[in-house]
Amino acid sequence: MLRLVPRETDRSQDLESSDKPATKEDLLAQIAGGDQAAFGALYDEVSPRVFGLIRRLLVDHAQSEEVTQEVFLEVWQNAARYERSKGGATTWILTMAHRRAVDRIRSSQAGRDRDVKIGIRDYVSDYDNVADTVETTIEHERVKEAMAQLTELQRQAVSLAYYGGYSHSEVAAMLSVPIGTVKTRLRDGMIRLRDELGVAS
Amino acid sequence: MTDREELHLLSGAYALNALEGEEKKRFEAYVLTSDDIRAEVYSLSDTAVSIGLATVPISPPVELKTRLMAQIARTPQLAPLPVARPTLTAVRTTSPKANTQQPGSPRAQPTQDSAAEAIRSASLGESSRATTRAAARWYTRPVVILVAAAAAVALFVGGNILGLSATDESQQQAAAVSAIVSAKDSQQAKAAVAGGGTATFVWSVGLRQSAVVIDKLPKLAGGKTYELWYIDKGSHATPAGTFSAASSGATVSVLTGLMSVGDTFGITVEPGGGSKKPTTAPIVAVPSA
Repeated sequence: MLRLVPRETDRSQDLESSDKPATKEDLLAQIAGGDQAAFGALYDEVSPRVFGLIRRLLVDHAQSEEVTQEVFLEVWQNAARYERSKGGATTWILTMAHRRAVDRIRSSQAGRDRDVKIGIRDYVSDYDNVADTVETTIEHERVKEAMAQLTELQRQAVSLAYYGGYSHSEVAAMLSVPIGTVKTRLRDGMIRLRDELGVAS
Repeated sequence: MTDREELHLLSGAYALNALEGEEKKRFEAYVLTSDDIRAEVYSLSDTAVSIGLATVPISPPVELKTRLMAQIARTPQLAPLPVARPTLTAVRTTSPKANTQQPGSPRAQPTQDSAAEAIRSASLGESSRATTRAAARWYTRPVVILVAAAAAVALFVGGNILGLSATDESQQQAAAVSAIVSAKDSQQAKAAVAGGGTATFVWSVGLRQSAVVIDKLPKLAGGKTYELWYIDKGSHATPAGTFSAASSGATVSVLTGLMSVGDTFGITVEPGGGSKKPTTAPIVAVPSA
């Protein structure tokens, strides 16, 4: 008679990570093999991050749901193409989430034009918002501290681009500076952030 | 400032998804040409994610998971990248009779109507009655090179890797290449271009789409343009779009129209605006079967 047993993590993995539950990277490997339960588990772990980020950019709830769905469908379809050596699962998924959110913003350009006219909303100080969990509080503090090392213009440009999903030409218009200046500020700012946050280069 | 230096400055904007259209395409082509910029883009993309981790997580509605679980149950998954499957390209290296003739080597200047025939024969050589499998031998190259080409093309798939967009209208090209390379029946072949450069064609018979990535393609003077062709088994050439050489890095072009089984891909140099039929000898031609 068949009995249901709890899913075991890979044995070789166990040697390294004692009896921890499967990592998100392990889950992706299982998803690559068509494991729908693993997909459900990964979704439970990552979806608040994905949805939170997309909501931040799109604001609109229904659209954020749609884009979140697109992102996770992409995760399912592309799991076999995820390469552990290129970065963690969260990085991979959040990169897709940001890209898709920005795509959605650009595809409804009319709304964007209006936004640009209204001017800078509250994107600039987003990293100042109060977080609601210990984990995100720590990350908030790290990013806030790193952001504080940037010049005012670098900080505004990076925030508008990342949290607002604005293109560099839109950022230039909003901040009334030449595009060339925005390009270099975005690069200098990101390099500074990378170094402050200790992201491996 | 040189063009490359100027492109290099876009790494921050790119990592933030703040580039659009032509500029984004040019930057992505540039990324293919330099390990340094690639490393910088990776690290800045990771930095962007760090900023993202500072946003407040919000649990999506429960129905979203329900919808997704139903959706994935009926959605097929993509195979690993071609890079990870060298056997796909290795098949082409098994020919014992590899012909060393360059597929694109110029021949007698053809007239207007014979140019299409020239493209076909340039790729098939004298043995036009040979089986399509034999035709593949004309561009037989060491597997290493094909895999390297696959690696270069694989970057385009990298929605996942480099953060390429897949939906914006202005980024149709990257999306199209991505779709072709991602297709289960995706194939590719590489050939030298007469006059300079190396062309890697990628195609999917299932999607009926193809694209070409050309390294070091020279710029054309005098208002001339490169033109792509689908040439069918009857040597009839159908225009598949014009393009010019990228100002730096790899030139990427998606063929317009639909390919058919057995088509040969060709490139000719045409007067500005392109021609309805090839007017010059092909600089490269690669059979798809």
